[in-house]
Amino acid sequence: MKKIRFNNKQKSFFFNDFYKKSPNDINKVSEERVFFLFFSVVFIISIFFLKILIISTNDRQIFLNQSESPSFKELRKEIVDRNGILLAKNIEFYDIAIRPAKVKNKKNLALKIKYIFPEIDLKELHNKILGDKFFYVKRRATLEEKEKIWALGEKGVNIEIRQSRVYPQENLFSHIIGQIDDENHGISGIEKYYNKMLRDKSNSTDDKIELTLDTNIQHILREELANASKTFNAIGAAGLLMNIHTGEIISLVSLPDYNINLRKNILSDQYANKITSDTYELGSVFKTFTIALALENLKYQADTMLENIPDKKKCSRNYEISEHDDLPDKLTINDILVRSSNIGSAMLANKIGKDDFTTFLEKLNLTHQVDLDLNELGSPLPIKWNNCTLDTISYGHGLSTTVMNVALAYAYMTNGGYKIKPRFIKIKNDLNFNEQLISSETSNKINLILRKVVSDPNGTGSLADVDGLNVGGKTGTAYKNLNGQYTKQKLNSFVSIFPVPDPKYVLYVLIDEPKANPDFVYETWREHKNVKTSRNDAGWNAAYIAGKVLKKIGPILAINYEDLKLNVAKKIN
Amino acid sequence: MNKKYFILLLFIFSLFFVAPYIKNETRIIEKKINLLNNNIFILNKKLGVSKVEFYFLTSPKQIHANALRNLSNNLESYGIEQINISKEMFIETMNRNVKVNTNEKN
Repeated sequence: MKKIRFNNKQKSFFFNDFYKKSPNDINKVSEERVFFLFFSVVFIISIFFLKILIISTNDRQIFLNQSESPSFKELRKEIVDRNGILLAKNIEFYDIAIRPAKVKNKKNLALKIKYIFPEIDLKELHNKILGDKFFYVKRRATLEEKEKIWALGEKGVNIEIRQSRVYPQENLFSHIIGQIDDENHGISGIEKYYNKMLRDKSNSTDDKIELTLDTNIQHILREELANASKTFNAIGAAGLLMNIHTGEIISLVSLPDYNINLRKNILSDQYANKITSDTYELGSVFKTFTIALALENLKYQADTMLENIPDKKKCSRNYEISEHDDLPDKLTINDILVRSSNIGSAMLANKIGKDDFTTFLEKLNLTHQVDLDLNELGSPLPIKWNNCTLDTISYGHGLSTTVMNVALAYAYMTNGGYKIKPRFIKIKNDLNFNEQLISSETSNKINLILRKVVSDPNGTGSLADVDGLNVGGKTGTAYKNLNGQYTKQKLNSFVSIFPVPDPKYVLYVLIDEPKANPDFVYETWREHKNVKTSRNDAGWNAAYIAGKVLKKIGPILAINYEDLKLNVAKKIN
Repeated sequence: MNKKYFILLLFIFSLFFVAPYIKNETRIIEKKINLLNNNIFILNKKLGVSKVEFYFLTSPKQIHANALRNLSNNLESYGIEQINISKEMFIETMNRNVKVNTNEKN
């Protein structure tokens, strides 16, 4: 290797004295400079390429984050029914506003807006544009409408983007789903109860919540209840369908209802939830509880005879209990329920005793608020005890409670005696309800007696009998109690269970203040055809409507829900 | 100048041309990604609206109204006794019906 000779006297490393060097020395210095420059450039370029390499391989996320493309994140999760049908969804809407001060050709703009939104009153719009005040032309405009407005290129047009909730089923679930406020916070119903869960977007895979409700069954129930209100000129109606083993609520309707998309301020009491919120004295549906306790505590059998039943029973100086029909003075336990004997029930309640009876009502949760995933829950009113209270409660007067409480008590009594929890949210885990309130034997006996109420020639619920479903149930005709005073208006109910002997569902139908309709023709009643009546009892309206509902929903339940299929083979009388 | 230095220099100069080209191509791809993202965003929005419209138009209320308007006969629901769960059950029901009819004739 050649040794480089350096000029020790040179003044600078780069600008050395050429004149004092030989040509060979000069070439070598030049070579060194080229090397230096060359490696400097290579070093800079290497850094540049290294940076590009790092960005393109490791930091791809930087590109994605820096992307200017917009993204739409729903502020609330979707709500779907048990079959995946959409019930609620967030959508971006556009509020279109005008700043008249910035508009040049006001008349022209008014015409163009009228062309895009034909429903707008042109005269009113024109007057507003001529004024100075900022105003909204259209709230909740769609993407297409927004693009049309945008294409006008008008400076005075303001477009504000916001998310809003849409409910494609409109009125159908108004009492269950509830509503949200402008800030996308739930203010009622499921929207409020599950607000936190609906707004939690941390788990991106779980972008919806699934309810236990069935849209088709809900529609059928609503239609039939609406028809009932019309036919019997009622002020309202309500219905509930629940699985008695899992507590899943398949349908809940309360009429009148409202379109939750319109967000009107509803003040009338009539719009309250008649199933969970309003409390009523529900009448003879309570007799089932009295009979169940007689079977459980007094060890009576269905055919145990109760003798010397009077026509009237005086329980205090001013109050006398009577029957609604002429009934024999001897009735079996079975007949007391089938023929709905008030005095028979009162006699049984007295044999059971006040303490045991009250304890049983508490055990069935008829005196406390139900544990349900809704905020709109009514609490049963405290019982005011006097000499007649035990007698009257035995047939459903003197205790105001909600329909949900009673339906749930029926579920406990007919599912083998187990306490269940009603729910709107579908749970995939197996449910274990171990607390038993009455024995399975009593539960089985009650199921067969309830079947008799529908299938027996003297039964009050015969209009609810549907071939293949083995419906059991109990009618309840009660006078409405307003501010402690009984009125002449009635509240008619029918609680049905099906299919007996191993029921899966409870259906509660309530008609609020029905009137007799002497012109209405019942196709069949027992062995008679084309029957007309001026009676206004639960057996003639609530049971009839329950039968119509069951006839339509029975096949849907049988097809969709495996557990019903195997229970329809044998007819039970 | 040495040959290997010349090749190295040539390589470096070629990088000078390749670097802007790659940068330019990256920018074009980035623009395309943005455009596609925009389209996805708009399509997602339209999908959301379409989904709501679909569930509104296929809601039982709408179907019921359309059925009443367009179908000549009233829709009748099947009774649960008319539904056969299996082929065997169907054959059994049919056999039973045939026997009943035969008895009626006799």
